[in-house]
Amino acid sequence: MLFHRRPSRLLVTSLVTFSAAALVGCGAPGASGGAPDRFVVIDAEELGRFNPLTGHGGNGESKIYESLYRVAEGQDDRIPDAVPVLAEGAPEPVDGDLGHWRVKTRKGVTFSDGTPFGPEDVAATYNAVVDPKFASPIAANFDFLRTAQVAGPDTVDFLLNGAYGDVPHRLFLAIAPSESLAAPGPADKLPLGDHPVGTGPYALTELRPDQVVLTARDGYWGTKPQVKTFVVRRTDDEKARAAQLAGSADGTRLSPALARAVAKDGYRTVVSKANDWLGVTLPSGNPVAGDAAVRLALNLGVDRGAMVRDILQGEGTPVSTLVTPLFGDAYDPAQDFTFDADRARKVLDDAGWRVGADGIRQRDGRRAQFDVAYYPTETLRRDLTMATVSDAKKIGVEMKPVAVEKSTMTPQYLAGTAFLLGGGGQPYTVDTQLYPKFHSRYAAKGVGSKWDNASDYVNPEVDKALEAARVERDPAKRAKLYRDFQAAYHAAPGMLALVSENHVYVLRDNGWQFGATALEPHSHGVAWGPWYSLARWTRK
Amino acid sequence: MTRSRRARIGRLAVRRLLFGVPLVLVVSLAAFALASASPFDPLDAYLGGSGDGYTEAEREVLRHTLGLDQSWISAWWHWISGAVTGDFGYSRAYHEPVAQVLAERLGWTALLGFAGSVVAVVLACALGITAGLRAGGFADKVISAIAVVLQAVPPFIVALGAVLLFAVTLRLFPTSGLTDPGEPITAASAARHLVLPALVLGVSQVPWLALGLREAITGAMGSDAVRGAHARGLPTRVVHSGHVLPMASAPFFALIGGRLPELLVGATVVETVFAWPGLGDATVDSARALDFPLLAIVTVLTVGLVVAGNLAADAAAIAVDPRIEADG
Repeated sequence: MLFHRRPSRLLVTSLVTFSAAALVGCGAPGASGGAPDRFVVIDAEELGRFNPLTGHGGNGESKIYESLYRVAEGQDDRIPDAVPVLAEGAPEPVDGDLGHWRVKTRKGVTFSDGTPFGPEDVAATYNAVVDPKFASPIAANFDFLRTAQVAGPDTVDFLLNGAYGDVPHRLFLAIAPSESLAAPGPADKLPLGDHPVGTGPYALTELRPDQVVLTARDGYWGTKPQVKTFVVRRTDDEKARAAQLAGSADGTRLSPALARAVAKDGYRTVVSKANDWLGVTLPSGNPVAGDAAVRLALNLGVDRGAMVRDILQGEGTPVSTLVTPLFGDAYDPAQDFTFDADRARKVLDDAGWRVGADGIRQRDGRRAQFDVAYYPTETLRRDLTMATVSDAKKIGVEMKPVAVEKSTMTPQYLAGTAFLLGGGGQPYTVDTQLYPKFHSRYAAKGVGSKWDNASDYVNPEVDKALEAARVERDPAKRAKLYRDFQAAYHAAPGMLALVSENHVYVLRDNGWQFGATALEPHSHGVAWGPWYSLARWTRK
Repeated sequence: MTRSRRARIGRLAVRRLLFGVPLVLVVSLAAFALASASPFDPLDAYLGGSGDGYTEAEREVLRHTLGLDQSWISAWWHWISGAVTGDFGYSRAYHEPVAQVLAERLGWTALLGFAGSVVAVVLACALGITAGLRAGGFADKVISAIAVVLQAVPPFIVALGAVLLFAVTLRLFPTSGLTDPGEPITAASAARHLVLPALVLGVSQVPWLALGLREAITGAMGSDAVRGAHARGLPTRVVHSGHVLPMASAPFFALIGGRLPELLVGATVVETVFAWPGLGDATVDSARALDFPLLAIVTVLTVGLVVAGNLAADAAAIAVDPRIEADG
């Protein structure tokens, strides 16, 4: 028995035990940089969600699946082109009907289980995503689609719910074999999640709770990747990820400040531009926030540049209208709001909002005061809320920050309370960015999600421009219509857009050469950043 | 050990197990009720980042298709009636049957928990006895101070500090996972990867146990029996090993038994930092996603651990100290 020994001997025994344990552990720690054709990354997401219907690979970032089109990399200063992958060429409207599009599919492609790929797989995947029986969490992104059908050998047709001009940018869904979707049921229970079968350059060779191993596939129709093995591990906490990076991994995603601290001694940062914006709703249902003069004054009175500099550590861009330089000719820099607190004060003075004794304005006995709700658990949203509150106070508007849970965000609550909103999940068309956010159709109760036009903004000129642009095929004319939108919005803004954040990755500089990153949506992780083009990496 | 003592332990075990069944029912019921009162919406967890695009009406349809619209009491009934037949349901958080989540993770948590408790008990014994037998001395002061400081430092910081010191700087141990990246699981690599998380998990429990043992020993030192033994002229060594330590061990065992569930809590943090694929992580994930079936089984396992821990502590106390009547 332990207790019948002398204490000093006990101590010695236990120390010896520990030294022995330490010696056992004395082998070389995992020098993953050593294997020349292997790359190890740490993700923050749960491992093994390989189901296209639950959102895997929705923009061509999957290593296992491919889509008809993917986002082009190296074009992060504008909406990237849609590069054909499983499609041959661009989609064509049938007989000029913008509600009926035809896509030619690639010949000679096989899935990783050996079965051939064809248009029936495309049709099956798209139909499954919009079929309520599959309860796909990404179905809302495809509300434009009525059905997809095989229209001949290597041809698939998309029948839409109305005319829609910018179709290739909506066809990024990862394609699964039709056999795997034969039995409808909730998407998260499909075997595809754990046993993915795709046409992509990698196949899943190991799925463990602590690691996923992807291996370059024999029989891939394209060029076989030079990175033979891609290992993904998972750690939710970013400080732990930063610590593990030095030991056993080659790359991960971190916040800008932490990334900069870690990126030395053989590591470097890669910044991906993203369209991942944040802004404050100013609901019409609130007598102060919905007031035209207050809306305009706040847009003039917040210092977006300072928010990018201090809160995002420079890794982002100011956003005024949700249209940014990324949108190319559709962007009109003249319609951005520049920080001008004096003009903001004048706008409020002219509208009859007089400064009271406590520095807060009043009009007709009403204080210029309203609540702004935010999620306290998200530091970026919290910091932006506080910066906005501080800027607003300087022009005599009192915004009271209220920390809330997601469940508080009922449509009724949002109709009267300003809220720090994030967006940009589907950044690859201007239409998906603007139409649901500003068209008055979504101001009506019960239309769209509660986040759509959360300010209940009604502006007939804005409606007109958005409707015309949606069905305009001529890119130059469409760009002009979006510039018209910005002018109309600038004159009478509907919310307070603030900034868009970039995504920062850190990776070991171990001899791999890769091209530019792709413009990223809100989603991010080790499928993105430099790893978006993993299959095309080369050795230096 | 005498036959009567063994019989007493047996009766104790049977009574506790009989008590455990209704306890599991009540606790699982409470877990469902509390979880349903939480502000999280399981549908938001399911929809992830893409939940923003749905109308309220569409959300209701999804809720129905996914079976998320049933009340917590019917969800509990569904779960408990399935569990009795061995069907633990489907985990929404992991997109896998609960049985599979358990099969993949329970063993790793058990291994980490066992290794951690060995570390904790061995260290606590060494430090607690050293400090207790020479209470007020230099060693006691140092050990008590270290224990108090360590107790005040969050396990998360201890874990990150250990990674930075032993893995990143000294390169003695790997930082994370069960194996080196991309390698298959072998006993040697799992053992090597276990050392650091087990040390951290164990060390995080040491302050309570060591200070508790120290208190028990100083208490026993002041007791009449020990004073009597000294008075009878027994050598110090005999007094310590024959009187003080057996007297102090009963409360120490009780403390260990009571702290066992803490290992699971500590494991949550340690598993996160070391990317150890156990149930600790799953506990947090299932709670956030309102993954009822997984949350329920994790809760029940924790209850089981509490009951088993206390039972083991009491049984050990009966075994070492003849004066103890246990449950009586």
